[in-house]
Amino acid sequence: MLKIDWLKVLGLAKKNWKEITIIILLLTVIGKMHYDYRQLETAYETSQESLQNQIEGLQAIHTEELQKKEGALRVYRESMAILEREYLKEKKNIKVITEEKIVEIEVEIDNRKQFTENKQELADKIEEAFGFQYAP
Amino acid sequence: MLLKALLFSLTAYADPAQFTIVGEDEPAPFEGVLFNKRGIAELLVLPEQYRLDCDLEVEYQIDRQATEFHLERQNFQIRIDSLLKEYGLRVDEKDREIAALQDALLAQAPTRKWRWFAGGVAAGVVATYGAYRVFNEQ
Repeated sequence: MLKIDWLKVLGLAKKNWKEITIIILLLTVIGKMHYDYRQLETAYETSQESLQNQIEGLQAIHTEELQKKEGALRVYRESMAILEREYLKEKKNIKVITEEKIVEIEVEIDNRKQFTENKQELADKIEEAFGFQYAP
Repeated sequence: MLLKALLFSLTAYADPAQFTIVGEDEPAPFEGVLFNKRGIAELLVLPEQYRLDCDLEVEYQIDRQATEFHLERQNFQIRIDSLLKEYGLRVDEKDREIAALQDALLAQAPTRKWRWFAGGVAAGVVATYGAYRVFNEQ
């Protein structure tokens, strides 16, 4: 069994106490630096994780926003198409109404004999519509 | 439909709108323009037709503007919602980051600060004494 002569060790230590102190201090400084480095690494990892989460969250929000905007645009296009259809339909309707009125006036002119016997009736209509003065 | 068909069949056979220009004593009390039955009927209908066209056009344009405005407003609302979500996300993540960093800082033994202080004082005393002994060796 290995026996340690503590007196010799003590003597050696007393003789080289400066070197031993320097080594202990050096080891302490290295240990502290390593500990600080680990702390910095942990802080960096925390920041990195936070940024990663932010990127993923922002991407999800952006995707959702795009989907909503596309939905809104689709509804807008559909609404515009309906409006356009209704507009054209109404325009045709106005054309029909106008034609009906024209025929109605023509029939009235014939029935009421407004070109011969009841000229005043037609004259009143023209006066009312355009403000022209009738000169029989 | 039947009415429309009847109407268009009537117009198909009706005389087209015509006019002529008459001079004085041609026979007419003064020179002017003479319209046939279809012509005067079309003229009499014109104000009403313009009014209907105008109303329709106004309604159509207002509806278009309203639809465009609605889309614009919806886009702004979507953007606002997204920005609010982004803001919430950033704040949450920063809070989490701060909490994690605070935990890391607290783990650096703030609860044992008196021991560190005592250790520091003791180390200072020992170092001072050691230096005193070293520099007074001679």
